[in-house]
Amino acid sequence: MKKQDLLEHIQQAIRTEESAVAIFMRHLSAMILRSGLREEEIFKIRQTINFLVAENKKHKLLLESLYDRIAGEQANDF
Amino acid sequence: MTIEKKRSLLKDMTAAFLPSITIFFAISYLIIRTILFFQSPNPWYEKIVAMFLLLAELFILVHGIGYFMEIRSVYRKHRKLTSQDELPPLCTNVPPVTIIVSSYREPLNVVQETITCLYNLQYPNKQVVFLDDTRYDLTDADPVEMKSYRKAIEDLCKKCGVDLFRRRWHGAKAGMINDFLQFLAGNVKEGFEFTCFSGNNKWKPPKYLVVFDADCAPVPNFLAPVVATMESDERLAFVQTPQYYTNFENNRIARASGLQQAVFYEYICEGKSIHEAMFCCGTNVIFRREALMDVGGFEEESVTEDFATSLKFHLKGWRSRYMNKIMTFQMGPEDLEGYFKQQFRWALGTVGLLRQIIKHLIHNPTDLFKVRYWEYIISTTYYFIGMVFLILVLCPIIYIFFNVPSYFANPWLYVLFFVPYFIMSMTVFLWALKERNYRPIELFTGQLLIAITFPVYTKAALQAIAGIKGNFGVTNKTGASSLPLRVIWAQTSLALICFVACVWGVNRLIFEQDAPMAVLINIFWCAYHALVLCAVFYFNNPEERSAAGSLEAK
Repeated sequence: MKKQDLLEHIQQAIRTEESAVAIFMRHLSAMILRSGLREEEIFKIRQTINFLVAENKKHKLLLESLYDRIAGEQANDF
Repeated sequence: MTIEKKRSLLKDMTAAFLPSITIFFAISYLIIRTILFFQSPNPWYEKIVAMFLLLAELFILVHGIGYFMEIRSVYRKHRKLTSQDELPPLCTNVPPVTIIVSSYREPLNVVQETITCLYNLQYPNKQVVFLDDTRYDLTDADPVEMKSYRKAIEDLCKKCGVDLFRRRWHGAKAGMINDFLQFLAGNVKEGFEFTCFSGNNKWKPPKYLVVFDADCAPVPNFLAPVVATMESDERLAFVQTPQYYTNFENNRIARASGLQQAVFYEYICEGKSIHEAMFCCGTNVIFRREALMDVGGFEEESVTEDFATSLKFHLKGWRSRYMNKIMTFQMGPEDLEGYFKQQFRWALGTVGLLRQIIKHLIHNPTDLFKVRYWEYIISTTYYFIGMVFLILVLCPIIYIFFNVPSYFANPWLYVLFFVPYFIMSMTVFLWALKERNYRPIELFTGQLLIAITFPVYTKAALQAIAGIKGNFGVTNKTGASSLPLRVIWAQTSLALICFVACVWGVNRLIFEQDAPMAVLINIFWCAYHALVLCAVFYFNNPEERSAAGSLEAK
């Protein structure tokens, strides 16, 4: 794969799931309070959501650093 | 029969009969009240006060009956209150859809989130266009800041491959969308600026136009069901979906206003949709472009252009529908200032349309079906609620201080007719919403917020009746603040008067022996209103500490 294509793919990934997941999770976490579920269930779901968001943040940072690293590489084929 | 089945049957029976029984109680109460009013030998000045109270009660009864009728319609359609419309099968074809978001100097972080969500909408034939309605021509703004904002918007659109449209400013959101419609039709006017960042230069005018506000976060699968619904009926002008505020967890205003939205977007909108009278709410909505062109675009004269445009659709024989499926998340107002501004605009716009509807009803009564007239009249008169609340508060005060009665009935008759009607109404209201997972205490806070907004509604309704237009700023989305006491003087001073009336009433009870039951009932109402009005202090301090488990906190 050419460097430019790879960079575009990474950027696409950052723009899609890596950015959107955090937004939707924040809304879902609030919405779950109106689900009619029991408090313990809500607590468990929210814990899972928090975990996913934290992991997602890490993943986004990883992708961003990968993007910077590849952008700084001299090579054109990956 | 198992216990589960018995419970289910009981629920069905309740859903089938309770709204009708409540309507019966309400009408009975109204008849008794009216007869007592006309039969009373009281002097003219007492009759005037009593007439205001009767009109206020009439308003509540009519709107209550309207609400119970919507619940009954929903039940008749689904045979259950929890059921909702089935979604049509998804389309195999993918008609072109343009998604637009109009923004007037919205904070960049808000715009960024919205654009990210729009970018992630899953639909193969979509185009996203950001309509930047920011006034870069205004001289009072800092030019450096404006230049930097303009550049930031362009960078954001470029980054996400979202097309950007600008024009010479006129007519706020409605004007912006109309200009964009003209642009889509190939009528490029002076001042139009279109920058294609999507790389798709060959796109054709779309069949459908989806409109979002600048703070919306639609879910990725938003488009497929709404497009399928539009494709299922070629006379559908638009399909509205609910607004759902998610910033309610740590903010009292957002929570209470979200619950008001919930009351509206559950049975009221479903009922309106059944009666083919659903009106557009301006965001989270898909339009047929052909229908928009047919009615000459959005109504630019009204401050609630969405509502006014819905009337144009219905007058031209187009249909509308409501899909009760939460597919978009939004941010509600976070302080009283923002909330009052929003409610003032809505009240001014909807009451303003009442004149137009009455004109149609008198001159061209066949323009709309009767049920549509009913729905429009109910919607346009709703914001008289401010005046109604004021009358309800003033009547017991007047009685306690001046001994002027406004309720011509033996107090025991009051208990006999008012109490059953009141209990039934509250039961149906709370029970029907409980069926949809809303808790009574939460609903009560929503009603409290409406009550303390009475000066705003009153001013807007009077202004709308007089035909005076208003000016509106953008709602603040950069955090909550408290209003100074001088701004909430109406609520605070009325609460104080109610409190003084209570004290005076107790004094009357002790030292006068005249009509103790009537004095007691009026003291009760004054105390109740004083408490309700004191809620302004609760809402004027809108931020709450982060709850455990909040994503923000973590």
